[in-house]
Amino acid sequence: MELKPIIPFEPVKTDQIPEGKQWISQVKWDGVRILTYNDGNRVRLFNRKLKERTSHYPELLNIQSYCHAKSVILDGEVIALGADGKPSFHEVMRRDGIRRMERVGQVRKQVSIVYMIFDVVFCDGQWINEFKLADRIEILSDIMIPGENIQLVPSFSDGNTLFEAVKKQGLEGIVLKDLNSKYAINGKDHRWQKKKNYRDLIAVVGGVTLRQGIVNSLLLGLYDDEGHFCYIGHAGTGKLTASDWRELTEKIQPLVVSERPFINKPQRINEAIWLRPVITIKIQYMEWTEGRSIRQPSIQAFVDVSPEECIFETL
Amino acid sequence: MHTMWKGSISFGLVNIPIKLYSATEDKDIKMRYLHSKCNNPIKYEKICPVCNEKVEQEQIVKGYEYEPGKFVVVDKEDFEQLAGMKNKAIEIVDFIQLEEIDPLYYNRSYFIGPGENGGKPFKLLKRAMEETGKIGLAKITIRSKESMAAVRVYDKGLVMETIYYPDEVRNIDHVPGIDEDFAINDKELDMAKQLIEQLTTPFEPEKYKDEYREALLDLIHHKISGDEIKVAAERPKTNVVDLMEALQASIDQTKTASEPAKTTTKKRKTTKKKEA
Repeated sequence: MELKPIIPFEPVKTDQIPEGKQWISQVKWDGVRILTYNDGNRVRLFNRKLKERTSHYPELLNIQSYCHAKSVILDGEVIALGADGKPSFHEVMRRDGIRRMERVGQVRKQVSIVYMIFDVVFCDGQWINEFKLADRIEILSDIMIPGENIQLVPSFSDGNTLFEAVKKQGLEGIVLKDLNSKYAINGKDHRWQKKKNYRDLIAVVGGVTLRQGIVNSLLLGLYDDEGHFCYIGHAGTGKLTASDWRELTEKIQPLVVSERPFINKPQRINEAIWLRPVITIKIQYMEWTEGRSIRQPSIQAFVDVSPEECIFETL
Repeated sequence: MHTMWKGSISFGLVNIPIKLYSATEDKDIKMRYLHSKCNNPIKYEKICPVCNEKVEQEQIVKGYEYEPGKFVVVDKEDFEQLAGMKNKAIEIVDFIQLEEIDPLYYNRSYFIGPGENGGKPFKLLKRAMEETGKIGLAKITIRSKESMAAVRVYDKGLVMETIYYPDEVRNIDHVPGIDEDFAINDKELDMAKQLIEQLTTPFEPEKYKDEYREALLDLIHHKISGDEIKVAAERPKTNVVDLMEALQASIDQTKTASEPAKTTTKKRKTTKKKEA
């Protein structure tokens, strides 16, 4: 039997923490969403866009070592810790972003990953997505054997306390889930809600500035409802290393254009070099200002998202 | 797979939205050029030898050298005007038999996938081509270069092969020695034919692999593992379990500070899982 990859359940954004006994909260781990499919013969990994990731994470392929079930679909987040011991999106992208597969063996030695598993959708030949979350969690804890690369995401009863702890530890946020909820394949609704500690978005690079011939900041944009490319701010700090900046400087050469791609005028316009909006990047930021720009943006990592998908999101 | 091009296939009045994906990939191992003294990647600078100054990207234009040292500049607007003449379509002009194209003409291969709302007409075209055994000969413009292309059925989908224009294929008459005549006797010919028969097998591409690349990769891996210890030592050892414990400590702290701990069934489950 072949298990066809599914689009996972997504939480909606919230600012409030819902009240009531049916709500549990879990840490929102900052990594890449990966579902594991074991049809009994073969283990395959897919991300939420249904792109295959099987050869990216060889650590997860020996499924008998961490899961009793004969066949299973597991849902979780693959994370990698940074030097500060906190999940780092930049680090996990060093694995997830590999396109020349012969490099996996070598990068694996430098970046180890942990699979934070929080749900099970299929188990021992049966779809259990219609089961209540409480039952799925019970099944999950029965079939899983946590280890070095495999952890179960614990559930907590008090969302407020967990959120305070998450803030203290500098983690991404929490996800609140209704214990009575079914697993909505390709769904996104209020039965799963996320409350973020820090905010992030994926923006398109529409220009750069240089210092001594090397890129030192990115001019970022998003598309609005009418398809206009709008400038939202510039970012020069974050996770990029000196050699990342140098590589970027070469990568942008074929993208240079003479006309400004943004509909509105950015600051720093005099020194800017305009680019065809192609490169996409994950940015962490504090908040939006009234003029539709972001405060204190910090670069996380380049991502493989098509520019058209980078739009203003309504909360 | 990464979309390389979005457009449509058109023939007659039919228009099918499609996407193109590269069908083959070059697996050559990429080497970078380093400064031998310090092992850092070297950087290329563009310099004008006449003005003796560094040239920035925005100061570069394209020019055609129509006689030595004399150029006409073809600027961006010129190129855009030319490209603007073409719409973004693979325009099938004729249907022909696959065998009619010599493999020499093939240049690059792309998988064709259905575009938005193109699923059904795409399937229809594929079925029709499959059942007639025909391939489509098309004109296409990718990145301001116009090419000929063959659209054909491959496995469960369609592929497009760009093909060279006849004037891009060189004339075999120009191969030195090709026209020399020799007397060949039947015995020699039979022997050669026998040899061919002996070596004939079905084509199994899995049998063949790039041995040079594998050897090079091997060498690289050996070199990497040579200083593997150094790399490992640089990375601080961190553990997600430490982080989860720190989190639990923060929770406990908050709880004792605010109110007596509420023990719930959920909490119990959490502990159980951790011990498992």
